[in-house]
Amino acid sequence: MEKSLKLLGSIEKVYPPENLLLKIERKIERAKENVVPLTWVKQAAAVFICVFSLEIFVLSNSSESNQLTELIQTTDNTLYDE
Amino acid sequence: MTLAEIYQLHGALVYNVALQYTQNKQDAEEVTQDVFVQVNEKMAEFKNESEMKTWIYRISINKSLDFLRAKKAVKRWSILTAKNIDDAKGITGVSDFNHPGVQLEQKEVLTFLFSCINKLNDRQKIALILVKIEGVELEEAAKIMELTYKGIESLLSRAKNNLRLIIAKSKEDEI
Repeated sequence: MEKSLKLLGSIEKVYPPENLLLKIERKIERAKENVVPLTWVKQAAAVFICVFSLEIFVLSNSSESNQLTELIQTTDNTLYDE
Repeated sequence: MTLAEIYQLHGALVYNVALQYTQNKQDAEEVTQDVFVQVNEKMAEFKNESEMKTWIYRISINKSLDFLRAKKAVKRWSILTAKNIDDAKGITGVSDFNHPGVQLEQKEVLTFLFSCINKLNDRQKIALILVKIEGVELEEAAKIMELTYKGIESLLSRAKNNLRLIIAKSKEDEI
């Protein structure tokens, strides 16, 4: 076992490839390009909330007139004018 | 400090740590890139250079382990989706051991040793690699792993015992 551990200790340290820093910098640049700006996200969220609120408002106000329309329709059972 | 300066100071450290986990040049390069992307995001938070070194060690270890988990999942999926049993066996049998720090004459023995180390649990593996391969002092290793001195000693002792058992079992299975 000690021999195995000694062998592990003999593993040499190596230098990274020369162009690795360049690859890292490119990766960081690519990561920045993919990030959506926070202001855009906030604006999209605000628009969504407005549209959603408007839809709920419209639906809640139109429910009474819909009931009236349904009532009128149920009293008319004729398929066509006789 | 700029990223280039940090890379000059710690690039080799990160690359070598990644190599000890991945045992493969290409994978170690990828892990090193991921580490420095994260370093770039947080480097302004560090004023103390020794704190930064400890933190960089931690990120290197975590990114290496994340990479290995992801690779294992991809391999598992490849085996599940293999068209026949021979293809599946081919996938499991492939060794991508390509550690540039290993002498050619020691390659076979170290490939076997690393395959045994890979079977340890994460914490024991980290302790063993830090102390026995990276040559980090026990005190520094304890700081990196956020353990007490006694804690790291005990963890290392368990790692060595388990490694001994794994090596013995692997040799038995070969016979």
